[in-house]
Amino acid sequence: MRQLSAKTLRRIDEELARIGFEVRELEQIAPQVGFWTEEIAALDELDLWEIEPALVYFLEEE
Amino acid sequence: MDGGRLENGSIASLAPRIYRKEVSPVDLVRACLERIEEQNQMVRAFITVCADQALEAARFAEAEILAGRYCGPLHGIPISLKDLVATQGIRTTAGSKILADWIPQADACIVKKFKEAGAIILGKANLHEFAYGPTGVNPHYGTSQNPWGPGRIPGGSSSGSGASVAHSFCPGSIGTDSGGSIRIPASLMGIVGLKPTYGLVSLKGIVPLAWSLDHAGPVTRTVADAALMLQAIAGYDPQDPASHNRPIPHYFQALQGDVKGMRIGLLEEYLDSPMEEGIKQATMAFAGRLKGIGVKVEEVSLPQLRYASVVSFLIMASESMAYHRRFMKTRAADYGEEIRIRLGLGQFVLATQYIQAQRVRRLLYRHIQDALGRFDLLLSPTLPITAPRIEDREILFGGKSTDVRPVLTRFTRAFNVTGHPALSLPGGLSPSGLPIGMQLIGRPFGEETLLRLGHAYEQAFPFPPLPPLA
Repeated sequence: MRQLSAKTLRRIDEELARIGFEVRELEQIAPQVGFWTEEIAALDELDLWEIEPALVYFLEEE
Repeated sequence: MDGGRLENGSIASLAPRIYRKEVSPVDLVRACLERIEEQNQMVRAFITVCADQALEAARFAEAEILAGRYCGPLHGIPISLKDLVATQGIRTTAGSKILADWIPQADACIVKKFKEAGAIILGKANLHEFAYGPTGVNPHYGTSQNPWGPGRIPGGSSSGSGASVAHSFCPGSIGTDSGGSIRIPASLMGIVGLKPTYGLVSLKGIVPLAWSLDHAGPVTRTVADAALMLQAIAGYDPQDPASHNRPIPHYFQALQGDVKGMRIGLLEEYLDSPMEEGIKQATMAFAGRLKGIGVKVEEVSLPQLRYASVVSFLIMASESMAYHRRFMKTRAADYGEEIRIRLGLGQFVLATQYIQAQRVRRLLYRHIQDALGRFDLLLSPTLPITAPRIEDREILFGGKSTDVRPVLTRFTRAFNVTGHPALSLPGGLSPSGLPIGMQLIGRPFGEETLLRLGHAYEQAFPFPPLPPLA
């Protein structure tokens, strides 16, 4: 899977997130974003048809 | 067993002696404070020690007890609180530089409850910065010492809570757990940690890490003490939107119930995944001992657990960054580097991914509920490793060099995602003499069953003694 570069993350930060990360920080974040992107893709294997999201305050009925 | 020293006693052993006026809360608190004074500089369990307030509270408790106004098993018992639990008039740092000077104007709900129960707050326990990490390594306040091996991590994020109990600074502490932060230090330091069901214990007044994953619960040396501490803090709080309004059982009385015939499901996917040498054997030996007290143990397969880590990551990264966004923009330099990078990651999670994670969360909950329809409790090792060295950011795991942090949360974080209660208790020692924790997982609000089995096990097979006191 293609990994986002620190340069791309910088652009996202400048135009959307607006935190003001330093380049050296983005260089550390980029490989982790890459790692998790692959893990996140694995969720597509699941059949979530008719599954609703849990809430922030996750109060499942017993 | 406690060497005759007051500060080594359990809550369950001290409480009746306090009630009978054989033990003075003032003497008990003094003994704990002396030990803290002698050792905290080295152990770094406490960020703030409240000696004057604790002694004043102890004198008040003693006067009340002498006047016949005993208010229960925590009356006169000294405890510590993880330093992200707000305490009125006492600084609450969350292990950070950012909140280094924050003095809350109100107590957290659980602090009010402890005060009503007569417990004495000795101080505020060290933690991983903002509770965002499982090692307990803190760049601002130092790293709490693991009594089993100087130079080994205490585990986190409730590192000081665990260390204060494992070093006999106090018999009980409160930690919080968003991915394993109560159970990890309990496992690595050979003590007991209980993550209650989500919504059983109020989070009002506790600095959040991730609202939907956070839980507060006890860290103790015995299962009975965990039951006594849980009793004091469980219950509905209208100020906490996650709080459940339901009757609270008598956890201490529930310890006496029978465990014969109880059915335990041993989590196959965890058992068959990479682990440090000795942990799988310890787990099988633990299961064997459970059978010895009449419990039925069978393996159960829950393949969906493999999705728990990524779901936990997506939720934690999003919620924590939402909370920290303001400080990340205005006080970036005041975060430790590790935390700033971890928080920063959350800025690159998409809203759709967060919602997908919340859908998978419901799916995981249902699968675990299905298993708990067939079993009373589930079982796994708490961690796949024993305490690594502080300097080991990466370890050899499953044949490759791996970041130690996701390894530490591998078996714990699923139950933060689903909210099921989970108890870590000492389950033996590794070939190198380090503690191995065992994790029992219960049905929602099934803490009675969890504590009952833990207590029955402890009575039949006493926990390995903590390292000798210095």
